[in-house]
Amino acid sequence: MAAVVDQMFKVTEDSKGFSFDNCRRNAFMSKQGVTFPSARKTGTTIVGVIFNEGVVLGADTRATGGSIVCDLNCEKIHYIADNIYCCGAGTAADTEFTTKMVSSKMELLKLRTGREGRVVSSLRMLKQYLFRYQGHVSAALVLGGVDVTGPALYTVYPHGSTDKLPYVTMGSGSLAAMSVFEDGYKVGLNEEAAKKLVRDAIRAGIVNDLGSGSNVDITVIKKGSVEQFRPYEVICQKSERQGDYTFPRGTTVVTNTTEIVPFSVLEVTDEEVMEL
Amino acid sequence: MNQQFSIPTLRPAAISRVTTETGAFGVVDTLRSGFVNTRSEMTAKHPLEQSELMYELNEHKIKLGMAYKIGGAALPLTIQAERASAARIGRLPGIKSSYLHLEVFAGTDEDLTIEDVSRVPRLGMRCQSIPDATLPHNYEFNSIIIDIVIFENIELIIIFEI
Repeated sequence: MAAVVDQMFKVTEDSKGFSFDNCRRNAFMSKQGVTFPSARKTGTTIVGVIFNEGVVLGADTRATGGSIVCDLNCEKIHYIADNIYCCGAGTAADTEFTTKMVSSKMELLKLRTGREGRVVSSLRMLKQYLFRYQGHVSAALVLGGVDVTGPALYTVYPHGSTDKLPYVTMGSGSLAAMSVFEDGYKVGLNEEAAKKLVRDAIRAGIVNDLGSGSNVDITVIKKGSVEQFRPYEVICQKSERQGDYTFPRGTTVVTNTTEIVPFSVLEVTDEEVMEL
Repeated sequence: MNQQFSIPTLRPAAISRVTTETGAFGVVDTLRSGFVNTRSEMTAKHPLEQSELMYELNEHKIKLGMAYKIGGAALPLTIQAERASAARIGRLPGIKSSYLHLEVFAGTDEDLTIEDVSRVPRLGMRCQSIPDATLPHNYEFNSIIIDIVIFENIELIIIFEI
């Protein structure tokens, strides 16, 4: 019996899932000095806060690849379920795929149980998935939603640890945003105060952190309704050009300002053609 | 019995079970599996490689350990017995089974993993076994199975009729 069970779990060469075939080649190439293209990261400010009716999630909209801004207006607040949303920081592909997969799993669970999904279910799915990959899937998430047990807000770190807190920040701009939260958070905020607090926190991240920028996106989740503001506010407005550097037709370099000789092309008469 | 159903750690600590493919006479088939490099076989390609290979078996052991604690000594044995019998349900010899009973029993038919997202078998991907050679000779067939192809997650068997 044990032999049959073992045979069921035997892995063949054509297995599915992650493939580690190129890892050795990549290690060799990096030792030879080949520079690989850097992963597109959302060096980011993402925040969440619980108010008296639900949860407000906020994020900036800049995606960077190394020190270059890849995307000025990327969406960092991902849909998990109708009542659950998740902000993602870290490698953009990792957060995107992880949240999409958990969203699909939550839908399957909802069809199975016939009930609205709970935030703790999606939290456990994320936690187990990220722990399986031991931090190699670089996704730092802020998970928030309202379910039958009330509003809930969690952070998920890339290695799989989680925290349940009333206000959270993640990403490279998290320190700037957390300082705003620590100053302004009160228990029992109303919706307008919560939105303003989130906007201030994201703005602090955008202004003080190089990895965050552009706009503030906000999602307000209450029992039975979700409102998305994309953008809630534009912080980094691209400025108007001060001067115009286009030259009118016929402009040439002026070499001698004292003697400007008007020269008409049509009046040239003297021409010597040299014959060899 | 107690030792057999202790809950293992979440991170699998066991050693790899992948063996090199040997062709005729027990020698490595260079044409199909490439040159042999002993050092590359000994060292790991990636820190996750071992844990990914052992993951499903480890998860099964965790479930058995939990079943022992919750349901007593008989429950893990019942689970193993049903899994073993479900694993034996198959189609004609040489053709890969769908393992439907096994998937429903294990709960994987209503679940998604990374294997459903990346490296999913594509249309027209051919199965590895040589169909006709794996059929037993006492089977009365007046046709030869030429090829087995996966099409939309269903195996198509291409038959040459004599």
